[in-house]
Amino acid sequence: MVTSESLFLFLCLPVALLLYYLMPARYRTARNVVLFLEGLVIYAYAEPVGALILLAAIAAGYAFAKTIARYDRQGHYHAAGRILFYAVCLYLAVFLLLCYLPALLQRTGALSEDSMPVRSIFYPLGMAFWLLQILSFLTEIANGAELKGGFLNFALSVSLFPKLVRGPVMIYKDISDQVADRKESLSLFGEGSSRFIAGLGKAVILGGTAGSIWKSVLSHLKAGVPAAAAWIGLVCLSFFVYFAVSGFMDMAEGLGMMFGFQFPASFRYPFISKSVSEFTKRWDMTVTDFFRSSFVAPKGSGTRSSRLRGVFFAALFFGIWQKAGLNALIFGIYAGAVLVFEKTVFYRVLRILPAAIRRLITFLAVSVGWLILFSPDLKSAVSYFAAMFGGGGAFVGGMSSYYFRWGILPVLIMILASTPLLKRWKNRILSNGGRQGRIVLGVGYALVFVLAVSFVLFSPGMTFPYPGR
Amino acid sequence: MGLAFAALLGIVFLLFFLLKDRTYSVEEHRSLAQVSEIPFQNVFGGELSPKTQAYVNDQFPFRNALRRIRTRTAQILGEREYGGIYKGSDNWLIEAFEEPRDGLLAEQTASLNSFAGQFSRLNQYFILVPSASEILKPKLPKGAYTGDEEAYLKAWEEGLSEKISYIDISKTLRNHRDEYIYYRTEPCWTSMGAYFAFREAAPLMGLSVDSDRYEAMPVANGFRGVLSTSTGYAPESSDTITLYFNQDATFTQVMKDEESGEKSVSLYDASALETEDKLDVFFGGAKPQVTISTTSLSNRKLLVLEDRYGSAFVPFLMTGFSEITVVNPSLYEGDIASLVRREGITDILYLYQSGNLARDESFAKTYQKLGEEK
Repeated sequence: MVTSESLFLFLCLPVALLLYYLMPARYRTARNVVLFLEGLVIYAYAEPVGALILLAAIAAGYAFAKTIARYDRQGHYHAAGRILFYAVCLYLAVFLLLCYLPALLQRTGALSEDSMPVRSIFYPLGMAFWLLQILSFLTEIANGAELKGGFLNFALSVSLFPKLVRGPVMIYKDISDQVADRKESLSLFGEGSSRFIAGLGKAVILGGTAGSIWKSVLSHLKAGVPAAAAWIGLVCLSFFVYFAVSGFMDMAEGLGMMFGFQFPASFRYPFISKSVSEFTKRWDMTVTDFFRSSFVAPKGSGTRSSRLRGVFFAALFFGIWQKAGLNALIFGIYAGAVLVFEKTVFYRVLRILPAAIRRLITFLAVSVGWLILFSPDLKSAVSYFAAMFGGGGAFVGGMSSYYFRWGILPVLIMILASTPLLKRWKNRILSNGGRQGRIVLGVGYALVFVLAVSFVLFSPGMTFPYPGR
Repeated sequence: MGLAFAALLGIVFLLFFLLKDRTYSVEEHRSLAQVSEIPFQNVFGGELSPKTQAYVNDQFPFRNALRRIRTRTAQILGEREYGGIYKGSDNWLIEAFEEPRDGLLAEQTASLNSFAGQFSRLNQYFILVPSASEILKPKLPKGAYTGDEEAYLKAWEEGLSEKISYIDISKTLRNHRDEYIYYRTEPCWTSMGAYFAFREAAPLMGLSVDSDRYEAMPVANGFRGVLSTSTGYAPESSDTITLYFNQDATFTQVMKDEESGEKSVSLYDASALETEDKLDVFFGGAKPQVTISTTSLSNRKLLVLEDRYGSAFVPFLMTGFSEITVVNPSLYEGDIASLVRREGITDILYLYQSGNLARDESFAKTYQKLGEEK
């Protein structure tokens, strides 16, 4: 159930909206049931076994939640904590098993490389997110959050299809309150539509183009990539990850609004960050917040070194959560090391550098991280990194002019799109343009949508960076 | 805004169901996914979603217009390659040469040499036609990467047994690279390219061709080959198919399609020119075996083992042999050794396109099978 696919966009979504709004607004439960079932059906169509795993995870989660809530109410905080611990262990074990089992079976020859249905059995789409969501709910309930509503509320809070597969990860109180009571409106629906279209455009037009360039450079690694081309590829990789991931988040937010939900923002222009630390506070914020709050004591408590340790482990687990494999582990270690380095030694240097240089350094540090995470294997990551410094046999020439010509215009557009400028222009048009302004914007969105759909249908082989997969 | 979006979704949704499903796309030269291909009963097979998705994509309303929009926009943004095919200068579409996987070349040469060993008393020739990405390099976008085809050709030359004579046509093709020797939209040579190659190869095959006169006649315009239909690039661009006819009025030939038994006086099937697959004009398409008898006074008989794109080359060989048997090994089921004996073959020509051969995983096995006694 990838929200950028035409099957979802033009068959599932219209039907989902129609069935939902057929239920009168006052029957909140009916609407919630419809929403829950729709999500299940859409998900099960693509991941039949995954849907069963999801239901099992939700059921177990609800059982855990009730137990923890009961202990909490009775004041047995240690017992509540213990149940939470069991839950974390169980979910972590299931997660790691499902992540690594196919690779293990392939290694021992029990599974052939290409058995698609089996891969799907072992790793349902979005599992990284819904497991994380369940865990975060249980953590909050153990910390005193009130378990609201019955099974339906819990189940829908986890599996609400706009956010099921790619987030955001929500605060339990926030989502369960909205599940219980929310106000759908035409203006919210309209805002959701524009958010959704913007997200789709970011993901498939910008992300897709950047991704194609990155993949093309990567494919020539063995033949020898000149440094200039490697740098262009790296920049495109970074933009690919940003626009794909944030685009999907925007789509999730937009879809949520169409059903009356308001999700928290997940991205706040991460590329204007002046440090990697700041970057983590602007990137996929609901997820990074979860890892940060799980490992790092809040400011004011705990020693500095324990907080640094916490930051390292938060980054490490964020990495492991991204993907199965050695790359993800190294990425986690790299991210943790960079953050600790920045907070201890490097901040003195950073402080005196001009903003533009700081942004550049941050961009580079982050891009190298993505290189580690998204290279097909560690060997490629290393040779790619070497190519960036001439390891591919040349610095300029050869492929460089080809990739420059391909990438220069998209990259300029992407730089613009990763700053708040576009949003400011849009707001200016809305506030000053009156009715004419709104029509212009509407036409603009329509054009973006049509263009995005054309990219959806015809871009060669697009795979998006979903955590876990 | 919201209403407009909902309306747009609704309209597309309705159109999807109201418009009749198409079975074939002329623009893309392929058949389109049908509802019947969706395995609704096999929920756990893993194919349900991808097949449904393919169906929705293929039957999407205004598909051709949307494809043009994407292609145009992507090109404005700077894209010059799609699916391994580059858009070169003068709207020339060129498929990048892909180096073969490690070990493939060795497998292929070993298999071919072993096959050729059976026929060491015959004259054997090997022509590997370089691809446009090698010969038309100046037309590629600047800096566009292609595999090292020169090394590949060289490796074949060195890897062939001494019983087979390697004929190098790269130089002559390069000399004529500014002429229309490759198609713009199809990854193979034109008849003109085949003609220049022939003039280069003829003396090396012991053929005297100085007295031959050919007239080149364009027989079809507007041919859009696979490079264009699969990328959507350069839709305005098209190819002209030209056939070469021997001017000697006293020279004739008869071609027999061994599979169907049909005979014809011409090597060319004009009905193919009315269809999308215009290159089927040569021999009527890919055939397992075709036998050509000519009024040539030569007592040499040739066996051509080719991959179907060599068909443009065969017409020029006719004056040099009284009989030419053209076999496509990947389609042929018979026994070559007895064919050679039966027909009294004196020469064998292996004629392949380098781009295809570098990807051909079945070549080695095919020649192994071909060489077995049946």
